[in-house]
Amino acid sequence: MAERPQQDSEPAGSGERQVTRREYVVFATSPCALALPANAIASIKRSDERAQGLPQRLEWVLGMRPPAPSDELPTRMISLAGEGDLSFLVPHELAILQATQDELLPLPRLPELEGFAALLMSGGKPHALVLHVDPLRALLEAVPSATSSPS
Amino acid sequence: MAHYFTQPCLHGTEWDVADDMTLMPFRLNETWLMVDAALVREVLGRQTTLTVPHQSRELPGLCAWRGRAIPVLDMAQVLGIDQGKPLDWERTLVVTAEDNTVAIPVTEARAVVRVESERRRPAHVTQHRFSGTEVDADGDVMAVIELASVVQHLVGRGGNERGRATAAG
Repeated sequence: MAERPQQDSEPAGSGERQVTRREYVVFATSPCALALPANAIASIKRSDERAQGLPQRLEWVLGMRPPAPSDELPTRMISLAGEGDLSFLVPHELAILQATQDELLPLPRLPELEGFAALLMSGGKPHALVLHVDPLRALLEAVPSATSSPS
Repeated sequence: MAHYFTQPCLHGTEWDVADDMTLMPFRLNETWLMVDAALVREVLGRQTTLTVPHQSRELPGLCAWRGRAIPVLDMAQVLGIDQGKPLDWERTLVVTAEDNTVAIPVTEARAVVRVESERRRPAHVTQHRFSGTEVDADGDVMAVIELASVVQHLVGRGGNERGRATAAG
């Protein structure tokens, strides 16, 4: 997906303020929604977790708690832009949000939040955690494709 | 809650008594506690939070405050208070200690009070983690929570909140 930053002109007193909006793809993962900059994603394809040779689902790559059995099976395969064929699975539900810098809140320094870049706001409320792309690439390079869930 | 204290505190007034403390009473369901009012930045209503991966029971999520994300601190979990039911979350204390800011969901928060030194004593009736003193408020004893120790223990382990980049990618 090509990067498509957009610039809006908003009146601000006597002058105008340039507001840059960037697109983020938000995944309905568990326990919270995660997001990546749209320009970091090469493709989004339909998938099926039960097929052979597919990549791991994003929650497992990140070492998050295993999704509950009732969680929706991932049916989308995301491939990262850049070198290598780095992919992961996410649930069906996706959203594309445009956010300004003001809607990306800096995170506190906590070990639990290593690998995350910002809190993405939507409608004035916390919506998703934005992933750092490079650490995600490193994790995907280290995790082999598999069809079985980790123990 | 009755008027347990002599008078409300006004910062910067003539009540500049060295051993007196300004404390904010707050309630977790049925349990009344106190914290150093100087650490309380703001009292808000219930906030929308985002559960985070790898969350602990003490720090279950994040909320937004003044253009940044801050951890939500579950004080009942921190203190080991078994309430037997979910917190009736009506107010949120935003506190800063040890260069870290956290949001504490509470049921109720009361106006800051000045507590004379003779009303504070080593914790005896109350037995909570992170509390070395308590206040006898006309028969009701409230633990004074050492908020700086709580925040340092839970949040300070990752360094202070300054310096994390916001660039996504």
